Amino acid sequence: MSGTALVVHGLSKSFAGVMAVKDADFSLERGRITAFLGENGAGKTTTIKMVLGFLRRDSGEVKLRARTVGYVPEQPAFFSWIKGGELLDCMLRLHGVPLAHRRERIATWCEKLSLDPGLLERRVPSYSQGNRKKFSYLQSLLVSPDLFIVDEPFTALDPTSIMAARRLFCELAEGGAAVFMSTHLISEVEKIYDDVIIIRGGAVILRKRREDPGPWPDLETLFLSSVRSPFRGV
Amino acid sequence: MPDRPRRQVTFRLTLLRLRRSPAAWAAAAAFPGFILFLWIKESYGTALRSFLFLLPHTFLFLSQDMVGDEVREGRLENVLFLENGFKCYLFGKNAVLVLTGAVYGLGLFIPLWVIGLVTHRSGWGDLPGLITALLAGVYYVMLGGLLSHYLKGGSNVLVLIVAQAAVFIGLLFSATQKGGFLDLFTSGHFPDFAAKLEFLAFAAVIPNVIVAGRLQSYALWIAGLSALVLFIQWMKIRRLELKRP
Repeated sequence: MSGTALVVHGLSKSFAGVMAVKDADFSLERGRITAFLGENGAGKTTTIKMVLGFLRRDSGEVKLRARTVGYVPEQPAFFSWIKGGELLDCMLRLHGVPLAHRRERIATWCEKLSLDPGLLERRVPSYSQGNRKKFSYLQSLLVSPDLFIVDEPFTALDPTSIMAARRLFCELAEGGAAVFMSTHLISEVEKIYDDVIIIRGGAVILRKRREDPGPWPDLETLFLSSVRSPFRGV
Repeated sequence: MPDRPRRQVTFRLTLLRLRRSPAAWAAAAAFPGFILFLWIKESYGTALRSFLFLLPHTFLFLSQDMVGDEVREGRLENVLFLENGFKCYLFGKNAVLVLTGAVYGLGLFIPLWVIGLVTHRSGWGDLPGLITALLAGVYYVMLGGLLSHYLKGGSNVLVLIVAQAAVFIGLLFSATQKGGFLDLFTSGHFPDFAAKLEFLAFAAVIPNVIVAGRLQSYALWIAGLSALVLFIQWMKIRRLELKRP
């Protein structure tokens, strides 16, 4: 599967007069992993939240061409009163997954994510931070997203789970999904990224494909040289 | 996303929330207990009148924790609520809570009323009281929902109860004056526009008063207020953003 899963054009947002995102333009291709890099407060999470509809945009366009969207926030928060299994049931209902397939699908993904299925009988906020993150992955992956957006994908995960997450992103991209990850862990994303978007001071300053030629030996050098260079925008 | 699955999820989540709320269970159990106590200690008539007068407050207890906490703590930044799904969920909660309150109220009223019918102590004349009690309950859900945009879960209910207590104390003071508000209130006749306005403001804080037979004509006022508060809620939810402080 090829083509674009998301097109963002002229996206802007300000908070109390301070521009958080300025005229951002980018698109995400199916079958590719896009790393979204930027310093703290660069506007990564604000951009993601506007794309997902959690924040209103001041101007610009978001053209979502994906059938199903998955989302894992940096620090997932859940209703204090809900059990894991109940939340998953809601998710599957929302996406019209037949009852007969639900149990099997949950079991398969629990195994892939190394998440103890017994946890699903407990309230989600009682899970450890790492398991809450894994549960958030599970919630999205159950509905086979063709656009998968992850904010800080490796936060709270142990090294084994980080490796499993990297493998998972590759599998998703091979299956035709567009994977979009905002992260500070450049060393991890270096191993799997196809495209990179760098944001600075709310403006997208660089969009590049891995195969594009350039003088940078690795992603970290590319990132550092981009954010240290004089501000110019794209 | 089709609307029907979204409605189903809103319904399911809201009911789960109520099922897991100790405050909701306590209120749901205490209310019939109190009515039964009045029936035994006083009379069937007192129990039925008290039931109708207090029924709206059960709706108020349902409306705690409707919006504020869920937004502030980031619980709605979930894949379940993408594409404005969180707005449908927050607005749809009103309907689920009204429905739950109505089912609960009717579930208690019907046996109470049927027993009265069989023993000739109640009649069709009690039904307008039920309808106005349900209407006042609807108003409480709308108001509780609106207040929860500004206040923490539980505080939205508490602030209304404190306001009611203050108004009630004011009413007691007016009892010492001949021709004071309490006199007008018990007669159900308000001689001038100012007195009528005073009553409308009173009913906006304690809508339960419209259950009384002589004041049922003011049900339209409460219905109008409910529609207004729902409209304000809708406007607020439409512009709502999921920002964590």
